[in-house]
Amino acid sequence: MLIQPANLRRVLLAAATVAAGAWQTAGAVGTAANTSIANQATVSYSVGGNAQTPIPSSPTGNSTPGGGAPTSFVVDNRIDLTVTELSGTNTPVTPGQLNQVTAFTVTNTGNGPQGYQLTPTNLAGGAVFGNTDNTDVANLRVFVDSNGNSTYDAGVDTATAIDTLAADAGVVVFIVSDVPVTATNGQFANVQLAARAAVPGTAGATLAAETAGADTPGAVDTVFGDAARDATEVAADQYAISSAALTVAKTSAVVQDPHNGATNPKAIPGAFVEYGIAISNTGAAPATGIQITDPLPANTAFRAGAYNGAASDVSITVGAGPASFCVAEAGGADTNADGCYRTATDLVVGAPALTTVNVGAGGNVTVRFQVTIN
Amino acid sequence: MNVSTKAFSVTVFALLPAGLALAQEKGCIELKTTAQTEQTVVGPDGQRATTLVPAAKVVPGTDVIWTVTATNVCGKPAGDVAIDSPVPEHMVYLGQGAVAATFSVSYSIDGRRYAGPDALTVREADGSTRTARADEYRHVRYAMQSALAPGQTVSASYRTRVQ
Repeated sequence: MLIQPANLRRVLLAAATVAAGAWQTAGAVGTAANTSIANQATVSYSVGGNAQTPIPSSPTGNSTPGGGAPTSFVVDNRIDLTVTELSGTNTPVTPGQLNQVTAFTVTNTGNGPQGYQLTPTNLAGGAVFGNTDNTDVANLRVFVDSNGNSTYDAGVDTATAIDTLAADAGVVVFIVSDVPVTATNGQFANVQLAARAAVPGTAGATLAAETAGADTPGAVDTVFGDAARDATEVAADQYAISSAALTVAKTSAVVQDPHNGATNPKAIPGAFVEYGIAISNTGAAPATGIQITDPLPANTAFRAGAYNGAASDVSITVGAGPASFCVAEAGGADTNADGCYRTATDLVVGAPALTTVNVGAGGNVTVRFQVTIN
Repeated sequence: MNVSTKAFSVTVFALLPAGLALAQEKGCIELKTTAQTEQTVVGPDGQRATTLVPAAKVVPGTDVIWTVTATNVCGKPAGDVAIDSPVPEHMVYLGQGAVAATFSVSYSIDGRRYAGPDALTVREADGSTRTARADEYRHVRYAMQSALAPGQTVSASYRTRVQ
């Protein structure tokens, strides 16, 4: 059988290209840096009707069958990254709280392993989650999640930079800060995390640099592929300050006098006067550690046994709940440890009789005691 | 003359070890492959122009233009000239660039069956066939419709992108 020239070429081409690479699906971040890409063409031809040995190409031209060389280059290192806020909402805090956490995710979207320098800052103005920044947090620190639980573990998550992050990998980074006691209810402290690409393995100490000038053939150059071409990305998060806001009102009423009894009593010597101290919380967080110190009025005497069937000296109500009672011992010492006592000049009401004022009408506290007019 | 005999001998040559192959005499065609990337330059007049430079700063997403150039380096015309150039691994074919008019272009997915864009088909897992997409091409073949005269140079280029 005669083989036609066209068929002959096909046989030869198949032999020459058998080593061509298989189709491979690249990862989401693309071909890895330092990958060599090679290409070699082959020409088949005939002279005087006779098929000749095919000739492979070279970068500068080759005419020797079996000679030639692939034309190749090395894929360079494209640095790209994303920084995103993790929770999708702000972190509620109260004034004076320490080590409060906001969280971010840093993702390497380049095509090679990379390190990152991390910088936390207080933002000035601007809105995050629709809330405008109007205060700052203090003692900003940054830590990398070391165990992948996306929760800040003090003493465990100690790295302050990302040493090496593989291409297409991400890691959670925490901003940890203290809330000043001067912060007030309803304020917002917006913070920002900046991640700047660094040479992998340097714990973020050596910043990655873009290769200047022409390409270095056969070597991996560095190209900044992020939008601003600065190898830096940022994301913002927010501390929402909620605190107690206490209102205290003091009222008095004559409840009994020696002549009229409880009916239309007048403020005459020997009359009993009841004082009410009303505390309400219009803030956003419970007020704890409450203690009331009230100077006893001049020209009066504290009336012991005014409540609870003459067994207690002070009445305490919370919201619409039933009254509780305590005994305010004279002498400046809370000998029965119920939270109430008297000094020579003051009535003191505190824990455990009264500890917390919760937010809203249900948390309203009223403390009552009585005196006798001298 | 029986062509099949000659075909046998040629195949043996192609399979010879590299050391022996280097001792071969030069053939009639010199073939060159170059890789280039586009560079935008702003001229003195402020006009932007795109020029081709040797492949530089190639990262995922970069377009690379491959150019094959064939020159007849002997005194006889060469017929049946066909250049096969693969789409390298980690790259995807995008389209043709400047191609000499004498070339008829065909494509292949497997390196064996070559056809034009409309005739090249892919068999799906369910047995059906469809026209191959350009990003599935793994080989480009330029078949010369005329003879390559002594001293004549022809070239063709195609565009690929790093994945």
